[in-house]
Amino acid sequence: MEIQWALVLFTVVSGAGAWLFACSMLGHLLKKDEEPNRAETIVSFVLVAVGGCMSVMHLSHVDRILEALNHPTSGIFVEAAMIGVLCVILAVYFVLLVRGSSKTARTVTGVLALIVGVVFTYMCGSSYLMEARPAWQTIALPLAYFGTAASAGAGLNLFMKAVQKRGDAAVSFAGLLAVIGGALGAVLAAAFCIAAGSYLAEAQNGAIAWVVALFVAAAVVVVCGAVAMKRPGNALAWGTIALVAGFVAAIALRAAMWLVGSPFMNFFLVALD
Amino acid sequence: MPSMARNCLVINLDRCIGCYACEVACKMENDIALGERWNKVVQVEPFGEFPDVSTYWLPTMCQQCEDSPCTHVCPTGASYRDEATGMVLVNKEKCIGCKYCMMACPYGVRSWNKEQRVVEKCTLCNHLTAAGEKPACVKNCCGKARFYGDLDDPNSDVSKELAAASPDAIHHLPDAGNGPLSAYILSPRFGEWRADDLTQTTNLYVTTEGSVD
Repeated sequence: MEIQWALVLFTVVSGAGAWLFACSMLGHLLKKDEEPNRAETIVSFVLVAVGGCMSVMHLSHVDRILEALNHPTSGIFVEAAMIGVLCVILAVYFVLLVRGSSKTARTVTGVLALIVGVVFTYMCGSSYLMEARPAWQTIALPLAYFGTAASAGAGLNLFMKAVQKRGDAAVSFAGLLAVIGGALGAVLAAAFCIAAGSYLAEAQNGAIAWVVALFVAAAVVVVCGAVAMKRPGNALAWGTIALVAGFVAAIALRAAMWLVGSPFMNFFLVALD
Repeated sequence: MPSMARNCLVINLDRCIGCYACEVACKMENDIALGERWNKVVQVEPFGEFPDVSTYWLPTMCQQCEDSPCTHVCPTGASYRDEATGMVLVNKEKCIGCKYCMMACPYGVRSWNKEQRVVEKCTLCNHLTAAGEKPACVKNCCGKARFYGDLDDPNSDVSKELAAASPDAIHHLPDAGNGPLSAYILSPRFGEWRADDLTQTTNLYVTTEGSVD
């Protein structure tokens, strides 16, 4: 099956944004860092919003998008609704931050954004659970979406901390999150590859190459995170590499998913280009 | 509350001669562009050891699934089940072109209208059947192999044809949990139903070379 690049970029970009905020919030909740600041909130918001807009590039009749209100249980509606809710929560968090409102309110709002964001990355994958695509019909697929979005978001988080020259403790913790994010991506993607193993083995369309790229990239995120964790003073280079590798891992998982998405049966042989 | 009708096609492959008239009639009736189709006849190639060799033609189209995945995934309700007729249909005015229904269709029998940039499919010629006529493919089948009607109506053409067939001759396309309604009749004396071969993407048995563009 053909790679649907608009949908690939949609879940990678918005997922990275969601996980950036989640990682930053996690550091704050575990008292390893300050709360997510304006820059991180803005970057998260922009990525989530831009990612959402990228999904629209897949549609032929964007003008009819409000018709989606007719079927609020479909996967696409749920994704769109969660993006909207996440953007609103991030905007509220930003306003609370700028106005210096109560810390409790900021924390509650931030935790809400964290939860909605990470669940959103799982839901993006769950939309593809369909009997007509046997290779996709496994819980490992949404988990792999979740995991590789974590790889991209954790890599981005490490980069953001390094760019802002946050303290050693904060950068070191961001390194730890990159290790966890990269490992999460690798393990959950491996689960999907095992579940879809027979389809992967049969695919003669480059899917294997994407899978190799996926695991190499996830490993790079882990290594960069580990080095940054040990040597937080020199984290910018490692954060940059982790950021790129995290995105590559997330893109590669999705590309491989499309390439192994052989239909149950396909009488009309219509290409989804 | 009366239950929904279960309108569908039943195709007697014992009578199908592979003339592709159903494809042509469908395209003519529904003004379908070149390269697009709502109905396609595939040949299940000659198989077996000579002299015990057989082949048959398999007309394919929307199977009017009872648990239709296309309507479940459609974000706008453009793919929907008509309450009056039970038919799975597409309201093209609502289609946003996300193609999720095409991904979710277990049989790949939905079509993309390149000009209008919307998804289409077999409508069971509901503009004709609503007026008491038969679908174009049924009317124009020279082998009288195609039947249309409500499976729940014992007097419908489909019910009568199925009742007249031997139970071991009645088949459905492989079920991925969607419950295809459309049925095929293929008697063992004419050929072996090759359902498993149909689900293999690299199968050697199905060709579409004779299909009308």
